Amino acid sequence: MGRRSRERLYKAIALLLLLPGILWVLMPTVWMFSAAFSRLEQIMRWPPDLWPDPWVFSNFYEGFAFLPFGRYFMNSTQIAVIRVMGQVLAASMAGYAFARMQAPGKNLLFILVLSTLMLPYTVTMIPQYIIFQRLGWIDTYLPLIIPHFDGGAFFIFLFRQFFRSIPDELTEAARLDGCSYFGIYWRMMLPLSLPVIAASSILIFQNSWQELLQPLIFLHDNGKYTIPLGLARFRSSYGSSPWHLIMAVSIGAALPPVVLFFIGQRFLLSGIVVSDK
Amino acid sequence: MVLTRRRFLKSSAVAATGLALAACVPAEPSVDMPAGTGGDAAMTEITYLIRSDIGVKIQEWTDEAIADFATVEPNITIETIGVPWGDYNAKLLAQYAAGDPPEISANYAAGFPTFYANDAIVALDELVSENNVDLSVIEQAALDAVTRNGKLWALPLAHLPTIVYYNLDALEEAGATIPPIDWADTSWTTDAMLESANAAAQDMDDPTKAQYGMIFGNGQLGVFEWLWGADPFNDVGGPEHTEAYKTGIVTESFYDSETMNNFIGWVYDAIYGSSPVSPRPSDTDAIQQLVGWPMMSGRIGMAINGAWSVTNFAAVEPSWRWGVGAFPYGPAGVNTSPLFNDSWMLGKGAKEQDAGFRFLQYLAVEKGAELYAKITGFFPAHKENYPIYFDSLMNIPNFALSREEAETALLDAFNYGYVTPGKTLDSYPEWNRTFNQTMGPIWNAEVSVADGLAQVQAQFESVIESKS
Amino acid sequence: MSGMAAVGAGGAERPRLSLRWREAINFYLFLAPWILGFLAFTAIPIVASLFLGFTKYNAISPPDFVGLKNFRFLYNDQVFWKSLRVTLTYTVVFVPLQLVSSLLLAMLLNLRVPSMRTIRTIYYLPSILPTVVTGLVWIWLFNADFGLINFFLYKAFEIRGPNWLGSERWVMSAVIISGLWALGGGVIIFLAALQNVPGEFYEAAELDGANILHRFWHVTVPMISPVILYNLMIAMILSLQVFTRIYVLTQGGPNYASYFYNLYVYDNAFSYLKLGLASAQAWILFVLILLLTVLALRTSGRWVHYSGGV
Repeated sequence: MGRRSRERLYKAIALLLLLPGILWVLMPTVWMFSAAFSRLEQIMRWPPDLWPDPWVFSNFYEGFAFLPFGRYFMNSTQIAVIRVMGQVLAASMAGYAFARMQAPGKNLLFILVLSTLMLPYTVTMIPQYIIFQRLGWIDTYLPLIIPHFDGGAFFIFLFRQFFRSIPDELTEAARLDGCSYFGIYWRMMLPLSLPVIAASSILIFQNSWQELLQPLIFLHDNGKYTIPLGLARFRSSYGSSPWHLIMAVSIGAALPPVVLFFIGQRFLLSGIVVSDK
Repeated sequence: MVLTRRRFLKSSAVAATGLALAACVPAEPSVDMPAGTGGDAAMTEITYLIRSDIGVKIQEWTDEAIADFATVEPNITIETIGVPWGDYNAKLLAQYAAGDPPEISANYAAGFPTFYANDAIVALDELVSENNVDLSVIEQAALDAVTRNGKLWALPLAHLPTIVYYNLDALEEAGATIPPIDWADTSWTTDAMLESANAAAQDMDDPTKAQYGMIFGNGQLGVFEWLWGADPFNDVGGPEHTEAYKTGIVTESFYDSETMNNFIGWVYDAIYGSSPVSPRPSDTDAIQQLVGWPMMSGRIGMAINGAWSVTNFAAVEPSWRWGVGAFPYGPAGVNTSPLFNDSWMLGKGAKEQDAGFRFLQYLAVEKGAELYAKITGFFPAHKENYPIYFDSLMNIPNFALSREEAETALLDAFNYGYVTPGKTLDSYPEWNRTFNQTMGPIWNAEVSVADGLAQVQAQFESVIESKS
Repeated sequence: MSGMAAVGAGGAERPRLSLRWREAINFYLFLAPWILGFLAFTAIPIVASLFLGFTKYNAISPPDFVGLKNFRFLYNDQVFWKSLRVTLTYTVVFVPLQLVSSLLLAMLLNLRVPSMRTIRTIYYLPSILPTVVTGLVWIWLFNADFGLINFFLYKAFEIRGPNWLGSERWVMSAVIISGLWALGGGVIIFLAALQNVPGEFYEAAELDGANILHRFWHVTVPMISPVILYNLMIAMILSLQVFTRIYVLTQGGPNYASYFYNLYVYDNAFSYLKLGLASAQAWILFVLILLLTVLALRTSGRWVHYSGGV
């Protein structure tokens, strides 16, 4: 069998594996979509009656009009975009330092960075709230953004791993030419790391978009709410939650990260042809 | 592909501009900041922390009440913070720890005993007399529920008995007995209810089609066993013998008692016995979490729940007729209805105690209470607002009772009621968690009732011991 | 930023002797955002929580120092040991499963096939829907009587499925299965890593007659081993702290069979107002994760291959 046809066979097998997987992945969302287009009374039936009858398209309008979701969208977007930029920059810088430089205390510092992931947030939340309160940051977006400008251990570690995968020879020459550390980081490392920049941007955006507890604790004013806080206001522990509206809004709210991922793939999958330089 | 430096820089520049722009645009004009405005110096701002997961009607009420309050007390502004119950304490405790607790905390008294025990709220007696607040308009039992050591620690807005709901169409079609409105009717017993449920139950072997006879609550710690003369925390009988309901502190438990076995065995048989009438708890739990109260599916003949559940009928507007009735008399010859109250508290250490109390007063005995009775659909603690409540109750579609009948069914319940442990025990969330976790094997039919209750008892003993 | 660049660039002119110093200074400059952020927002809360671990604290009144009482309490607390056992069991089973399935999925999604962009997006979908909502959907799916999963088992294999969420024996499987649904993050990172494997390596391996499995073991795995290590450690750290998904799905039941460590920490802190106890508990987990992390890093030298760096 020739190389071409073997490649084609692999791809066919891969597709055969992926397609049933799609059913598995979509299965739980079927109910969400069905509910988003049903009347509340139909959702209340059990076993669930998955085919909406009648189809209700106004759930989307009604859901988004129920609370000022337009504003929540702006709020969430603003926080997420700023956070992505600051965090990617800081994380890649720190990751570069850990991957490519030698300094006293480096290993200990690296463990310290990782250790920030190991303590449940439940017990550091209140001390952190006190700090933000002393700074006058409560009920502003600053607590949701500025602390992430440290890069965050997840992403520092991620960039470190990627930067360590880049062969030394590439940077050695630049260094001998007198290129500064910052020059190497900015002109070589970052451009060579487009996939990981894309991956971390997607993930940071997603984290920020979905974060519920922190905005809930640090924001007071309804007008400053983010999407997940808005969604949480629909829920009712005692009465009947308006699930038709919750699902409609949940689906609408998932669109920005989906679009970001759809576009971001191009960068995520951009293999860099090093030898062309 | 080759990424050119210029292309990369260009995208970063765009990004950086975005950053600068976004950072410069204020999120919200700071009109509500008291310091910066330099306006009326006498303005007082209070913080009002309220559970946001009680339903959309509560939000409607909050908005209306605050708008109206602004006309009554233009010098007090209210910052409302809505938080769902799951994170309510996280938010509240952060505010306490930072020395800035909210003036008013409204969590429907789910946290009242805990807050009282942790010294988080202030006694209201002095403020009540200073402001000449007439508390006689509030149902005494509701006030009693938030009185500790002779002092009043919260103001109740709602006072809710537990009642029987029924699907009139389903019961009539099956020729089953309809729950009476008369709480003194001793012929309405748990056995009579079971019989009625049996008549109404159909297709019980197919959960996708079954029409269930009843749901006899299974998710609450220590309330329905009262009908059997059992109580988790005393070995004599009903709740009036339990010291823990008065002190808040649990020192002993009796989950393996004979009466408790009788009660749990009865509910268990209704689910798993030879002629079952109730859905499996894993099904009702799933429905409860996902869509809300299972009763609303139209496939339940009767269900026991708190009086707040009428709001479900208002929200869902079912196409079948429904009604409410009295609790059945149990083997112990009593029909004790567990009583709930929704009470608002004044935070200890909050800066604006007087303004906070002023708002509390507005909500509990002034126009705020009236709006509460009208909008929320919760049974008011303010007695003069009863007519408003019944007006709105009678407006719910397909309600089968006359106004007089509804008044009897609901109001008489208080004469047969006792406050639920959720409003009296200090560490109620901990006891409730212990109960829910350890009852799992019984409700899922993985152990016998006797073995299961022995395990429940063992776990309660171990928690009691760990607390001493 | 600009100051940092200036120092870095200016340093190039300096004599060779200070090279090591220059490197160290640069290191700390590059790390400055993290160090500043850590000192300002993270260090104090961490130290505070350690202190609180030795106190009785309800966040309302000032903390009371109680020595080792919280730790002694936990030592004697059955629920604490159960939650630790549940969490470790889950981690041991879930992490390898998640790692392997993420890598395989990433390799499949990495192929250039028509409409792959859409397929990738579909596979990413579960990660972006709100956990609170998807958790509830899983409650539906796992329902014993009318859930889709048992319906399928019955129709396809005539098997009467278990009461997934109601049974002490099955609840852990349900938690793991629903966890394998949203693989998003790990897959995205593997996808990025796979771009670092130069195509020539595969071509060379193929010329040597290596089949697809050989290529996987001898080219792909070594080349992306730094990221495998990353995903392994992150998966471990996260699964030892799993919270929201379980909270929605099972609330820890039945009979504590899915009462994960962090559920108990959260309950102690915010339901029971025992923040001192919760802090002690959190620090025990901290030490445990720290030990496992150091162990993983120490042993990683044997199988992780770095192309560059120091």
